[in-house]
Amino acid sequence: MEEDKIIRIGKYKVKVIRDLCIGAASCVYASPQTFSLDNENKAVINEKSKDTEENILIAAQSCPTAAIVVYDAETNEQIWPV
Amino acid sequence: MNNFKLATCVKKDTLNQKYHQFDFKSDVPLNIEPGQYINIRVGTNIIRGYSVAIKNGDHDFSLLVEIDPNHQGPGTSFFKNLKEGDKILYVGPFGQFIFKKNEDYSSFIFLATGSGISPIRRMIDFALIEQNIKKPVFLYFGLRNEKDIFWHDYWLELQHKFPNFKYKLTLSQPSDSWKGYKGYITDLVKNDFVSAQDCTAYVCGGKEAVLSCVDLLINLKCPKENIHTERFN
Repeated sequence: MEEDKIIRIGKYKVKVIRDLCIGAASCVYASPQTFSLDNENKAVINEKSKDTEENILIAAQSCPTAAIVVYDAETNEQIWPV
Repeated sequence: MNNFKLATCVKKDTLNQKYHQFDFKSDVPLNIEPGQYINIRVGTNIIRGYSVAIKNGDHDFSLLVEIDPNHQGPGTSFFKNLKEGDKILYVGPFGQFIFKKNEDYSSFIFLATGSGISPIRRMIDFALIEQNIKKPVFLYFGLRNEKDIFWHDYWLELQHKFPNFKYKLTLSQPSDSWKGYKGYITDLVKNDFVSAQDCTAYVCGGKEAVLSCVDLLINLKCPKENIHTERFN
């Protein structure tokens, strides 16, 4: 099984756990620059996103299945889910 | 570190054995469009979405919550235990199921089953009370039986106040003594509309109900782009 990619955006590293993603699209509403749904209705990350850290964190926190993991890029500390 | 906002439960109203209304006061203004939802933290790392049913001013809002006594999901347990004075954490608003004041079409049809009435109530309140829309507004609301009925008097009163608003409640499994409409909301719409080509429709409820409403609206020539839906399962 392919490992979920960790993408750096600003001061965060972000990962979507595809197995958990149910395509609810809350993340897409919260940060459309960063997240979109692919043809399997799973969230994917746009590496070129310039969206604010706040919106990215809200996107992760809005996920009903906690499929988006956010790390501090410097310390690798997991910021969400906590 | 998080972006959750705080709201306090100011009233818990048991509407019947299944449906409950929770009134909240948010610490910060809630800027939400009619029909949108918020995500509430109902457990560690567990989020559930709830449409805002009522909004009063910037900080006060109400949610309609279906609590199935036979179901022990995290959302059900959370709201079962929530008391007046308790705080909730939420993020949002979210969602594309938003009422749009469409000037090009002649009337609005709202179709809801069960707790799907929640965003629809906010939309109708907005349309009639806040926007004073004069076009015909139809609400078809489907529940299972008499024990499920709630907000009935509210809709009747609204119908009395606004002559352009028509409300019909139907029960799919009523008792023999029920004198109102029986069957599904689609049965009522079929009877009332020969064509829906000039209508804008908002549909919310369970998956099967939403799909059958959409099929019917398309058969009635309602333009696809004017059919807005939200599914609750």
